[in-house]
Amino acid sequence: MLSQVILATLTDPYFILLAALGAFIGICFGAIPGLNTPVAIALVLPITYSLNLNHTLALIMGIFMGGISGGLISAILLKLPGTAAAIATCLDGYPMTAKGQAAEAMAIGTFASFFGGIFSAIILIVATPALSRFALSFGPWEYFGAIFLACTLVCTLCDGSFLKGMIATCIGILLATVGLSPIDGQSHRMTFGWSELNSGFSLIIVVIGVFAFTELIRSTNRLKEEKTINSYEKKLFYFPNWKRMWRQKWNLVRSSILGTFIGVLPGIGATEAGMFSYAQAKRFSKHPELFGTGIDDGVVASEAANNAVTGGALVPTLSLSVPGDPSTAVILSALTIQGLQCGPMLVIQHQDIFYTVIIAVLLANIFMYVIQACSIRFVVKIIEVPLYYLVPAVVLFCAVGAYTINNRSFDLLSLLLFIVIGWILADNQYPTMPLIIGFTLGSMLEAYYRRTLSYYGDLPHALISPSFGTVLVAIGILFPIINMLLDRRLARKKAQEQENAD
Amino acid sequence: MGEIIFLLLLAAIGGYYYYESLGYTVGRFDTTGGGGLFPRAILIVLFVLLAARLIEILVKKEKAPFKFFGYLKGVGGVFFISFVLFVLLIKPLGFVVDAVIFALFTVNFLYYKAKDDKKLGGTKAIIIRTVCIIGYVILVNWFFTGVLHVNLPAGVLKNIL
Repeated sequence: MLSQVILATLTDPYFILLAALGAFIGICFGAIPGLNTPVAIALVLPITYSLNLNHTLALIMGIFMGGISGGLISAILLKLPGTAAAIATCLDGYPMTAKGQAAEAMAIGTFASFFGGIFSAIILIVATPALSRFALSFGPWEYFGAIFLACTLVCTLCDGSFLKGMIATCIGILLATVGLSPIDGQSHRMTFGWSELNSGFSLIIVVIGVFAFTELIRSTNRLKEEKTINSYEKKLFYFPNWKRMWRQKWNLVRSSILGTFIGVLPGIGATEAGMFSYAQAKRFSKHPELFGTGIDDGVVASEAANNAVTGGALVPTLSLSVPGDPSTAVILSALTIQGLQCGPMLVIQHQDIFYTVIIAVLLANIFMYVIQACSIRFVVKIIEVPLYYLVPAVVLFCAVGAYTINNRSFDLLSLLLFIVIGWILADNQYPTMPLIIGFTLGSMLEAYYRRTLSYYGDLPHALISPSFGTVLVAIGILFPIINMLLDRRLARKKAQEQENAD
Repeated sequence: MGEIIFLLLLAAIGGYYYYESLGYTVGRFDTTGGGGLFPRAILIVLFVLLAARLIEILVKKEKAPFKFFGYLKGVGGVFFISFVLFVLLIKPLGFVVDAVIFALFTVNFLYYKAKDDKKLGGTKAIIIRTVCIIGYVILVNWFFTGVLHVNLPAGVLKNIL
């Protein structure tokens, strides 16, 4: 099976081309401050409609791998992380630039990203089938528990109030219920007699409206932001010095392990991985006082960890349909659009698709490394493209893409509605990612909820049943509460410390 | 106060949905409560969360202004309104004409706003920009109609395209 998939994918020029294109798009979006990986994936969703599943996987995995890594370019050259994942890269990357070692910093960072990505891909190969086999014993109640857990955990992932996150999740789930009811198909829910709403809102429209377009259009309010690129050595290929890299071997392995592990945990992602790994590298270093002054260790720790998150985050996404971070949440939407339901059956029954994901991830990492090492000079030019050209061009392209989903103006009108919803939420510190997760998982949550009722008779019976589903639901309820209490305690402690300092 | 209005608005929409869901048909042999049960369960959770947030606002005496119309303000607001017009006019004008007007306006407007001297640049720059925009729109039109084989509204250019 594996050899067949390898042969089928690697002899498909479109597959290879789309993985390369995806990596390039991801690097560009990652490098441009203000744009990020989930936005890039959301924006290509309309195009994926015209692609088959394999090609979609190649494109999306390319963007995912490239997007996380691309942030290092602006972090090193501009001291402005292209993505939040590259915050820790700034700490030593930019001082290296100031010392005239920008080329070395980019070469080391790119190689560390590649190492972290490949390391986590190997973990993905090993861990996903194991987790899937465990999840095979799941019934509707366990699935309901897993999705419920994902919905609540994603609220702890976002900045700001947990309550606001949960409200956004509920709005997302309720938006997913619009249209004909599943299972029985008898009720026209909130359709107001419009036949266009019978099939509900399109997932692409919700994702690009609430998330991507809102971010893009809001970025036009920052037209005058200065982007001063520091001078750097122009090379054809940014390759690290092997001796310097060899000294980082344990740092590379440790950071990759940390990144992969953090990636598997739903709720925390590349940003936390980069920061945590940087702190650990400093702790284990013989010269912790040099961190922040522009040393290889800091760049390696941050970049290996944030890219290792990619494979880790895909483990629960593929095996349980529980996204590990915002990027995998949008990837889950993209796969749903392609008619692919993630979960244990994906790995057990559709091994060919699972192997295609693995090959796409590995290939995307290779392209990410090659393209990033070769094209830093060109990507820097893209960072310099002014927003007044970039935003109208991207908005126009994606709006047409959204129109072509069903060839009807209604989708564009609903896109406007979702831009307004996304904008109001974002303007008032209501996180938008839980809304997208709620919308993506809402229909599955409903289906499993109703199957659970059919199986157990009523919810109390399911809740008192000694099953793993009950444990998942309990964690889903308790984890955010504990998180909220800890946050409050921390805030109180900080306030007290500040009071004492004053 | 603004956020309280927002929460009450959400509660009102939720209340309407709850009321409507009570009238959904339940199949004779359906033991799962019909199509209205799940939305009702989520709506109850939403009502609890809205109440909790309301209490939080009142207890903490949060006074941060709630922005209802941020999408209509500033440069982003003008961009959004022009996008709304683009969406409304795509059918009657057709994609090419509509997109050219939209892109010409937004690019020049954003360019004007980005520059400190508040100028659109020289005549040559304006002409190059216009040609590039028209070229870009034609390229996008070709990509969707020629490569992806989808129909875009032809509008006023119906007999030409």
